[in-house]
Amino acid sequence: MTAVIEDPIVTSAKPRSQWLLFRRRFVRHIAAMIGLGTLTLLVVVCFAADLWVFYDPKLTSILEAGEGPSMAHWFGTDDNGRDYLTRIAYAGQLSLRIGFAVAFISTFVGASLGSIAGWFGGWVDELITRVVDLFLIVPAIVFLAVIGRKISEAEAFLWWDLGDEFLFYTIDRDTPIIFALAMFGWMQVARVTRAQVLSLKEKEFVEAARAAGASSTRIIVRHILPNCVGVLMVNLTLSIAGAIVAESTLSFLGLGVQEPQTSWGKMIADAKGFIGTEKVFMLYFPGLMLLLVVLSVNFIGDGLRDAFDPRSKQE
Amino acid sequence: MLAFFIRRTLYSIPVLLVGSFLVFAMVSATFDPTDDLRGPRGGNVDAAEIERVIQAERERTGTDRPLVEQYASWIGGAVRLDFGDSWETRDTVGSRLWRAFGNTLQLIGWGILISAVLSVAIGVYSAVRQYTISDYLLTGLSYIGIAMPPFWFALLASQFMIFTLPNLLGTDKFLFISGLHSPGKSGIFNLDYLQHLVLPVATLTVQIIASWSRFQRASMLEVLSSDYVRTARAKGVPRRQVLYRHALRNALIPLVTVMAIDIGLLFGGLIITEQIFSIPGMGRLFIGSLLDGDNPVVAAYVLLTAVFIVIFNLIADFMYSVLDPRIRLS
Amino acid sequence: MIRQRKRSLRLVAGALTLALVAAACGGDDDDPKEGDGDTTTTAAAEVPEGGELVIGAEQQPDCMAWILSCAGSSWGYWSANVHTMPRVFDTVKEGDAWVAKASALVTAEPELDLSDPAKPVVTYSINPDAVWNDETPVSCDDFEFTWRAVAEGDDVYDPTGYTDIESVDCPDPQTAVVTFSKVYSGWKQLFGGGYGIHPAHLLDGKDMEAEMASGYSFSAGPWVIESWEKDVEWTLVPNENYWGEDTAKLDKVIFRLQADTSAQFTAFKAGEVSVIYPQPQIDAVEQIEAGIEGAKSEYSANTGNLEALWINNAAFPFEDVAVRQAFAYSINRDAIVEALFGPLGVERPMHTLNPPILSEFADTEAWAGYTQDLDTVNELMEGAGWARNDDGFWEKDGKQADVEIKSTLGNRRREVTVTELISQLGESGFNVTFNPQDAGALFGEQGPAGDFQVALYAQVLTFITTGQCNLFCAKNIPSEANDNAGQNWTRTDIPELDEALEALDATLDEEEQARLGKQADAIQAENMISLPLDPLPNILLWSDTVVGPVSDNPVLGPFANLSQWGLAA
Repeated sequence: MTAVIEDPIVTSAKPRSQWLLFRRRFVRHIAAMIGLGTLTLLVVVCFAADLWVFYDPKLTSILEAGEGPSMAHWFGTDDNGRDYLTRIAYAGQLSLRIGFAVAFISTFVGASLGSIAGWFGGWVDELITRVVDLFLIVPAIVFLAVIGRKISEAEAFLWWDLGDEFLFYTIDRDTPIIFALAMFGWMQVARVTRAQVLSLKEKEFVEAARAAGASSTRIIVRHILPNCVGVLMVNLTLSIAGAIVAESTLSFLGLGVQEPQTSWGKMIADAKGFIGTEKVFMLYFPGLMLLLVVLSVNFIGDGLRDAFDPRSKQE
Repeated sequence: MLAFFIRRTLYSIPVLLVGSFLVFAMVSATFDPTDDLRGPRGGNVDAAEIERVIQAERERTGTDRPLVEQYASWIGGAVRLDFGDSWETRDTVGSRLWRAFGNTLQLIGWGILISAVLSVAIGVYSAVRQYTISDYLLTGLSYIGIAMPPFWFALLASQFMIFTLPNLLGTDKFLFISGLHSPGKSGIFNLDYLQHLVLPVATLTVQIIASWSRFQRASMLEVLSSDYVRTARAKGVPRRQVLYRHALRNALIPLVTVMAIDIGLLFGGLIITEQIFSIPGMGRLFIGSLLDGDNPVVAAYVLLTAVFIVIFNLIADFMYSVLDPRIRLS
Repeated sequence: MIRQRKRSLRLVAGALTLALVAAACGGDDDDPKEGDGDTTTTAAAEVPEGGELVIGAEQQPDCMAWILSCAGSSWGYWSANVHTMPRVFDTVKEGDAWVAKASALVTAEPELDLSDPAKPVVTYSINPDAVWNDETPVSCDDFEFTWRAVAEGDDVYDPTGYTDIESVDCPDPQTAVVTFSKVYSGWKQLFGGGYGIHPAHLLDGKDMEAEMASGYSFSAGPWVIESWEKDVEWTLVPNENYWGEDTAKLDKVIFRLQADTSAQFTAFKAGEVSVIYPQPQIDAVEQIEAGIEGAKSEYSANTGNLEALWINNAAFPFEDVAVRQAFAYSINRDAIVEALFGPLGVERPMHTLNPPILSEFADTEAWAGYTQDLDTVNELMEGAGWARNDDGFWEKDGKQADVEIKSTLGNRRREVTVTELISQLGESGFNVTFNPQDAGALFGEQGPAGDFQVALYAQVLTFITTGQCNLFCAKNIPSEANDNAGQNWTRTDIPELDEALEALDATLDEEEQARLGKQADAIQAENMISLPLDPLPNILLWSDTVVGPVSDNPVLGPFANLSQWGLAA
């Protein structure tokens, strides 16, 4: 990465105006703006839960379990007598955290492997392509279910000790789930990046850089990846949605997050027995939150795609 | 072109082999068939007796041998479609999977049929009526459909169709949520079967219909704005004929490819659907065996799913080349 | 979701003998607790004939070759074995107690003849009316065949007892004289139990697995297995040639496999199945509390199960008895048990580490003193040299009282229990975390290795015995000496307790056993070696269209008297 730092900051007029164009197009995309607004609101509401909830999320009172909505508990209480609204906010923290973390990790891994494969070609490309195929031939949910059954021991799969904190991120019981989900989320990004790099490789400006004696790393980081930003950002947003739903599916099968943590998917699973009873409403709230987040993220993804590549505009 | 397919098929084999070994190793690493024999017991149990039982179980399941040897004999059988015996029931894995496959096939078959018909209809309708209220409505619904977690949809649909709606109307329920038939009934040409089929098939297809119909709408719009369609219109070919003979045919090509790829993904979706609606298909067999630690069934299921996905990807390539002669596979 | 009730045949056999033990001690007062007035018993005469009954099953039989090791599912025993295989002893309710009584298969109550103490003999006089459904009489040959099949066969689940038989002699076809090589106290469970008597004329010389594993068509009971569509459903139809009194009233009984507890409940509420026997899970109990329209119910807490917080007495911080006691005083067990099982009539926690069915031999009040009491917690902890740190948790010598509770993965009830414990224990200064495990790992590795501080699981009684030495004697702590197969996972090591438990094992006198059992309970409670919670009650729910004496038999299962059930028109 030292190559990047040494590099003089090139600010030609062209990328800036492209960036401006992109921003203008994105901001004018009404659906994307609504999506961004909703997602921001949900993120703020969930992560600022400490500021607005009336109840300690950890405090249980089991004799008040399973009560219906009241003035004290707007959404009622859960199986442990905790305030359901509070639980939804904290579950959201986990669902969103997992979604974002998985999306970033898998995009990073996918983009790296994809650009390496595309750039170097030959046996490297062959190998990475085969690995992608390997990961794609079985639905991720199948693998995740197998891993999920042993998720509590999955920490052993992490060969280095991250300690309790990693950057701004707290290492927690959900960390193995994040890694497991990321493990099965990078293939699409890798494929797309590889295709993009393959086409960029033949472009004049890349050849010019190569002729000037730039190293591979430098060309990839300075010239190729910036031109993939559009594709990567679209993929990133879409994989947030994918990861959140994948986590909720795992938790629904009982193989995801565990008490006392909860996620929206787990809350749905815990309430699924209430079908056909008066308490069926407990099923609605967490699902609605999931739906809103995924919907917003998809809108943002559409907006990004349209903004980066107006030709692909579908509306 | 034949050479291309032969090469693609040959390429898939090492991927499948490596994949199946990893699967087998992973499954073996996670489950020990003798774990539950050591479970907590009351009563004075003779330790030596337990040890003897465990050893016998090891021999029976073949887990006393080295992993590579186990894999070699397993994959050797698997290519001859002999997946060994289920640890739980002593049936052959093949017979269990085969029974389950029948039910799964019904779900997938109906799911694809209904998804294809509905999504093409919706896509074409939206494209032709672009920017009308009905187009906006359908597009909005498809956004929701894509974002809807299938298991949540299944629960909401059960609540509404089995409890809420019949209560409102004061009638008996008209759908079922358990299995594919009422007990003792069979056959696929009767009302009972349809009543059982509606909810699971809806669960399986809601996301697919939503995404396919959006795809179909986009590709239809692209074709409609293409030169040859405009030319045809200009030459005075009737609108209907242009739509269906020229536009639709070409607009179907991309969808067919996407379909073949998505069918592979359907196998994943089946796990949830079959679990919620107690349908004895492959997905439920997989989850059940996974939770019971029945490794031969789990490994066979994963391998078969992988083979299906490879096959459908090949079909996708094939369709693409057949339907669009401009594409040359090389 | 993960299925919880993967009961083994060992349990079935064990429960049978246990009930016999309880019966031998006369009527105990710890009878099944029944649903609040819902249970109605209709006289047999009023039960209509005909109709198809659909029962929701949580598991299918793994296989129906009952004596082979594949037949591990208790659902197989309840739904198929007891209805087709003849047995010598039935379990029936007399007054408030369940007792073992000779079935109609024998004409006289079999007795253990101890005139030669080295060679005890039991003589069975077989009812001449008793026939298989092909009208071949049930004969002494069948007894002999069953004995040989179990005692000498390969891959037999559990030959206990049968291997103590020296010979089966047949002076005439209707008399079987069984000679033992030594006293086998569980002799009443033989020729019945989890296996039943097998027909020699159909099976002799045949491969048992091939003949029976996927279902069989012979029967000497009121029902015949008509079909078994694996992973879907299995069907019983009346045995046309049944020789007994209670011929089946229904035309057909279908056991339909359901995915999990909540799927069972939904199908029950939607009317797709008429009878369910679900696990006592949270949503099940909550729904029962809310009331299910048109449903009747019976709950039984007189089980062979005991759910407890098992404490590793050798692990920090529990090597100190004061900490264990403080732990117990931190927990409001009454609230937990009432919240989890109150609607099923279980309102008090267990106060012994013996399961309810063994209460004759237990001090059922031993733990009654451990109620939530924060002052006592403080007193005990401070007395042992602990002090609260800045986070409000106990700390001693720089080490905080961190407690990890392990349990099985995917069990909602246990999740809720531990979540509540985290909250309660947190208030009294223990920093508790929850770490659910795959059952295989927990019971296969971590339990024996002592790789836990506290574990929440149910101990299930599987063998005839009142002793607990295997669980709590120091010599049974897993170690090299016992090939790490010792069952004392809690690492209990109290000489005084060893003495009482070993004395208990050494005596055959039931009064003495009871006295020593109570004494052991008192020592265990005083040392707070573990904390008992609840008896995992059984739940039987049926639609009010089902009529007849529906009830849950603790030994033969919830469908034992299926032949007397009917469907209201």
